[in-house]
Amino acid sequence: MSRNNLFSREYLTRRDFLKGSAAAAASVAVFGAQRAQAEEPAQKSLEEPIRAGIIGTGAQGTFLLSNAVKVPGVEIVACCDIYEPHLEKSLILAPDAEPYQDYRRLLDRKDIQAVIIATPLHLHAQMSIDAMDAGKHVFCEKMMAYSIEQAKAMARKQRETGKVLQLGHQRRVNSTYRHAYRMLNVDKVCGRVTQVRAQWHRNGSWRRAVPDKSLEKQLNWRLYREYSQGLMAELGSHQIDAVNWFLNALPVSVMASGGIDYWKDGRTVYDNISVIYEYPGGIRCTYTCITTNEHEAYYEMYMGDEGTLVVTPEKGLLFREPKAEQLVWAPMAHKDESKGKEAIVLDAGATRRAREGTGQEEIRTDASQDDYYVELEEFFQSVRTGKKPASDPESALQSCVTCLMANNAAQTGRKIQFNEKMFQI
Amino acid sequence: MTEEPASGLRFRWKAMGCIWELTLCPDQPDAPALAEAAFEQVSLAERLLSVFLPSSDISRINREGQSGPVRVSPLTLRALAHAFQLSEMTGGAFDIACGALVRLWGFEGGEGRKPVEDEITQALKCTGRHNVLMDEAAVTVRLVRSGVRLNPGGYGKGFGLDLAMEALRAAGVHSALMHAGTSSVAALGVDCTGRPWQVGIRIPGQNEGHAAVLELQDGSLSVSGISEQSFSDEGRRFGHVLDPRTGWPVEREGWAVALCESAAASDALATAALVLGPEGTERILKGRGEARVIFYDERGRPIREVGGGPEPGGSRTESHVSE
Repeated sequence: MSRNNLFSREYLTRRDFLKGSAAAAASVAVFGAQRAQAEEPAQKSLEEPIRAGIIGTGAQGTFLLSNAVKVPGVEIVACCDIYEPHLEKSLILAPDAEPYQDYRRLLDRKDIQAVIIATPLHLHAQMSIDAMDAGKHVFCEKMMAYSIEQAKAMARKQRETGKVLQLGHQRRVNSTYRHAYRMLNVDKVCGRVTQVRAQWHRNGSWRRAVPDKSLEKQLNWRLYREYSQGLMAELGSHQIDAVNWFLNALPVSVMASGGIDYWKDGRTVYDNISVIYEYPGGIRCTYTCITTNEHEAYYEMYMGDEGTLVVTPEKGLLFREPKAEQLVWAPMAHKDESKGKEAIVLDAGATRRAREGTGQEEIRTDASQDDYYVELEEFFQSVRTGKKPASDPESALQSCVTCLMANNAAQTGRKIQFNEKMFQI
Repeated sequence: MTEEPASGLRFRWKAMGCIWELTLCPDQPDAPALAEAAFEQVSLAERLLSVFLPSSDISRINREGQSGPVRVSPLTLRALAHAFQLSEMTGGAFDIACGALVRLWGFEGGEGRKPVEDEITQALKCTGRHNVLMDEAAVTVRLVRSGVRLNPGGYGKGFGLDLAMEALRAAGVHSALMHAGTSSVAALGVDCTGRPWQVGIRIPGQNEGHAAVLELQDGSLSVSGISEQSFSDEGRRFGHVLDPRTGWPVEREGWAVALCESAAASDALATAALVLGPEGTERILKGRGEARVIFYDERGRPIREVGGGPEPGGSRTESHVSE
């Protein structure tokens, strides 16, 4: 075996780098011996590993794969992508996986119980349905599907087969969001919510580098309407899903305006969009998604007559209105300063809330795991137990309908009224 | 360290507590998208190796690694195997399994403090790659005793640069320069005028003038010196570069510049060189033509150059005292 050149970058790409590593070899030997001595009954009784495959190993798929390989009790045995460089990259992350370029061959494998789908939006429905038909549980990236009909077909297939179908709205598993949801809905820290403001602002082309012009649409599918529903689907659906969840409601109407006004590079989806949703009880939600300015990046802000709650995956902040009474636990909470106002930080271990009769309860936010890891851990747990995941087909369909209707409103220039039928599976 | 001005498109990013900058040629197609792709890799490196992110693989190993094997990304395993091989090659002068010492001396985000000898003895027991067990088949890492901590300082930024350069190279980029907080810089090809990239080495404590301007082509360069982060105790100055073999900070003045293809390796080598000094560094580089180290004194004068440097066509130097 040739000696590793430690001063080159081959350690990133050489398939046998670890095998040529004296450090790894020595450690494996020691570790192996220790493991043999330490065999414990509990470890022996570990359940059979779940064998899983991934379809679509581009940027998002790689992200998911790098987390999926860490979930205990899961073996990634197959990777599939039609674009060879992406497929090769995935094999660095999952060296024992079998490579495929045709997803149907991957689905033919009887030993695979679950698949992760991270392909362009227009393929979600067909691939998810084929996978469930082949007896696989499915984790599919958000947004659920390209059209409402496709999303409904996916949800119906899930009901028919009884397989797990989880969508990638990872705010549903984020501990700050779960904490914030309770504060807004159980502790009513904002009083009566009347307005919501949300945004995802970036400053960039949203393009991916393309080594050859012939690959433009394949690699930059997000920019073309025949494959993509644009910013509302790829970014907005995360946040709109959270708003539906936090308000425990679905919108009654939507108005929107969007355009291709800055990135005139041949794309056919909007590079900016502004949306107004009306929710029951006169709650209005304004949402903007732009690609030319990243000030304040992304957040959802719930405004009520007693307070304002600002939520992001990394942090939540609560601002009380001057006229509102001080919360009993506020003096103990971790404070932060934002725009000259004192805010209570939701993500700190010191945040407490009052519980009737039981004094204070400390609520810790778990920052020790990536949201992508947590959602995949939940998915594989659902595969084992049959428990419904937090991002289930019903809520994902609602988020999909809510976002697609905003696109529709922007494209037609009309105010669109939602009706119950739209959200029914 | 600064890059010499070169006409090009510049993209900036904040990660791992410092500013990263990428320069691409003005005629580079898809430049913004390439920059995003490169910085995605930096962000990946941070998510895997940062000790400041509780969800990173390194944080999880440090937190849970004593109780049992921790499953990590295969990329993390590669980085650790690479770092440990560099550790072996340098005789332990560079070692990422030195988190116990880094923390003891207050260099893990805290204020520096001089520990007592007993504390150093204890921390030394928790230092060294023999305390870390990797299982390639299970893709896990385990720490053999409590108190062992990994600290990828002197490696992580270089690892981010390597990932970014690999992504740019795979995307067909022939010319790019990227630096991480000006302590490490990596180059693809030559600059936009067809010359090797020019990298200026700045004299510590001075805002203007360069100790040297080094040429870089398809290679990486890292600078290590103790002046960047240090504290004083009873009149004695202690820098943040620790000798993992003795448990004490390096007291060598001046700094070391390491050049080779991989930025992770140049990052580690610059740290090891500061620990080992010119003679020790020459010993470890003997027979290895792929890396080179230049030592400078505290006033920016080149003292000695050891090792072979990258292959012909790789980095070359034109050292000269400040302009």
